[in-house]
Amino acid sequence: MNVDLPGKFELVAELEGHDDRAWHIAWNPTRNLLASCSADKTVRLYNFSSSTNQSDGTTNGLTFTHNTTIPTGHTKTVRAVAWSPSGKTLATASFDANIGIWAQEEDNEEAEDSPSGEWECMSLLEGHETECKSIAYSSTGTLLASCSRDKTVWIWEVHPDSDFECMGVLMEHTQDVKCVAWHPTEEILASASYDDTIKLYLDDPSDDWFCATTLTGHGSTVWTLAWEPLQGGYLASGSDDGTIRIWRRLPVKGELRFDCVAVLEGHDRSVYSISWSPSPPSVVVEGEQQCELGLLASTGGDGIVLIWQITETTEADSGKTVIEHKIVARIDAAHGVFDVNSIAWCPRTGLQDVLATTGDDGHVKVWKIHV
Amino acid sequence: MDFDLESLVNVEQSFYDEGYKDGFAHGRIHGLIEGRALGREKGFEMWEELGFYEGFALMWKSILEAQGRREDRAANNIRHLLDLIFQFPRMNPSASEPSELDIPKLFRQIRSRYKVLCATLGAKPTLRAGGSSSPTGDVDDLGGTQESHSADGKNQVWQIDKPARGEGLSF
Repeated sequence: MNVDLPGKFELVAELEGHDDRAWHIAWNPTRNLLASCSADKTVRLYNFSSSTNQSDGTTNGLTFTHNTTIPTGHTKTVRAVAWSPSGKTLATASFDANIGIWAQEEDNEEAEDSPSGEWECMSLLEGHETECKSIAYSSTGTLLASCSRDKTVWIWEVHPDSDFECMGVLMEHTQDVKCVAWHPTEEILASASYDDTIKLYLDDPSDDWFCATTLTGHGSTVWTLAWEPLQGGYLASGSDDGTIRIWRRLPVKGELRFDCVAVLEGHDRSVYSISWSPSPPSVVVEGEQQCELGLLASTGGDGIVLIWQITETTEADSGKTVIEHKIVARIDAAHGVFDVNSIAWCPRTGLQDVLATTGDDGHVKVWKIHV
Repeated sequence: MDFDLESLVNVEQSFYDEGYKDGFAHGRIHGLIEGRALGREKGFEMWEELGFYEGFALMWKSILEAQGRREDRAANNIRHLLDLIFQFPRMNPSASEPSELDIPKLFRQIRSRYKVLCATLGAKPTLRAGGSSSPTGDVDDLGGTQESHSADGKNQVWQIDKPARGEGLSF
C-alpha cells in the first residue's frame, strides 16, 4: 500500500570534503555556521546564508560555503561535535579519549556571519580511558557532559577562560555509553548505553551527581537521545532494535519518573540518530486539547530518513494524555548505500524546516522539508 | 510380635534424612571455611585498591600542604575522597547491628571521586592488579596506554614464553 506522504524533501546542498566517514554534525545556535566531524580527524565548518530569489519574490535559497577545516590535533577519529549555547565555543570528542575545546581568536569583526580568526584549542580535557563517544553542553552552557566506551559519564563545569573543572564521574552504566543529552531547561542529564538502558542524572545539593532513574524497555543498544525542545516533558530514544521510544516525564514531585508512551517503528535497521525540532504553539481542537510537539527526524543504518509528527492529545473528559505519531516525510537512501550517522534540525529562526545529515560517505547533505 | 511398621515403611526416607543431616552439618563446616577464605581474598582485593587510593590521596594532600594550596579544588576533592574511604567498614558488622551500607555503591563513589581527583591534578595512572580492578570480578579491559602500576606483580609472576619441552602441552 503506497500512500503518498504529505511532506516533500528538497536537497539544498551536498557538501563533500571529508576523506573518511563523517560521524556527526552540529548547527551553531547563534551564527550561520555548521560543523561536521569525521574519521579523518578534522572538523569542517561551513558558512551559510539565505538569499531570496528576486524574480519569484518568495523562494529562499540557501548557499553553503566551506569556511575552514580545523585539523584538530586529535590522534584518532573525531566522533562528535557540540556548540556551546553562546555559539562561541566548539567541543570535539574523539576516539583518542580526549575532548578538545575550540574558540576563535578575537577579531574585531563587526558582522556576525563573516568568518574571522583561526580556531584554536583553548583546552584539552583528559580523563576518559577509552573512546569518547558524545558530548553535550547544558542549556545554560555552564556544564559539559561527556561519555565514553569506558562506561562512564563525566560532568565538567565550565569556568571563565576555558577552565574546566570535573564535577563528577558517573559509573552507573554496565556497558559502553553511546550518547548524552541535557534537558532543554533544567539540569537533568540523560545517557544512553550499549546495556540497553537510559539513565537520568540529577545534581544533589551536597555537590554530587547521582543516577536518579533508569529507563528500560529497548531490546538493544540505545544509540541516540533527543529531548522535546520546548519544555522537556518528553524524551525520545533511538535504538539498535530499529524502534524509537518516547518517554513522558511524570509530574511526580520530588523524584524523577518516566513512562514509555509510544514506540515508533519504521526503520528496518538500527536508529543511529534522532533530532527533535520545536513546534508552533498548541492548537485547541473541539473537545480535546491537542499539542503539537514538533517534528522528530530519525535516521540510521538503513539509510532512510523519516520525519514523524508528534502530537500530544489530552482527552477533555478523562484527562488522559496520549501521544500520537505519524510519518509525514521520508527519504530512502539519503546517502546512497551508506549508513546515515547523524541528523540535526537547524535551530536558527526562519530555517526550522532545514535539516542536515551526514554519513559513512563523508558527505554532509542539507535538506529542506515542505510539509 | 511388635513390628515397628512405621519405621519399616519409611526406611528409605529415614536413611535419606540421616544422610542429609550428616551432609548438611559437614557442608556447613566446610562452607564456613570456604566462605572465610573467599571473604579474605575479596577483602584483600578491595583493600588493595582502596589502600592505593588512600595512599595516593594522602600523598597529594601532603604535597599540596607543602605547596601551601589548602583551598584548591584538588584539596577539596582529596578531603571528599578520604571521607568516603573512611566510611568503608574495617570490621565485620555484628549480628546485633547489621550494616545498611551498600558496599558496591560506595566503591563506585570512591572510584568516581578518584577519577575526578586525577582529572583535577592532571595525573592518571590506571591501577592494574591482576588485570581486574573491581571486587565483583569483572575484567575491566581498560586499554589504558598510560603507565600501569602492577601493585604486587601478580600479572608478571608466571610468564611462560616457551613450553617446557619444545612442544606444546597437547594431550
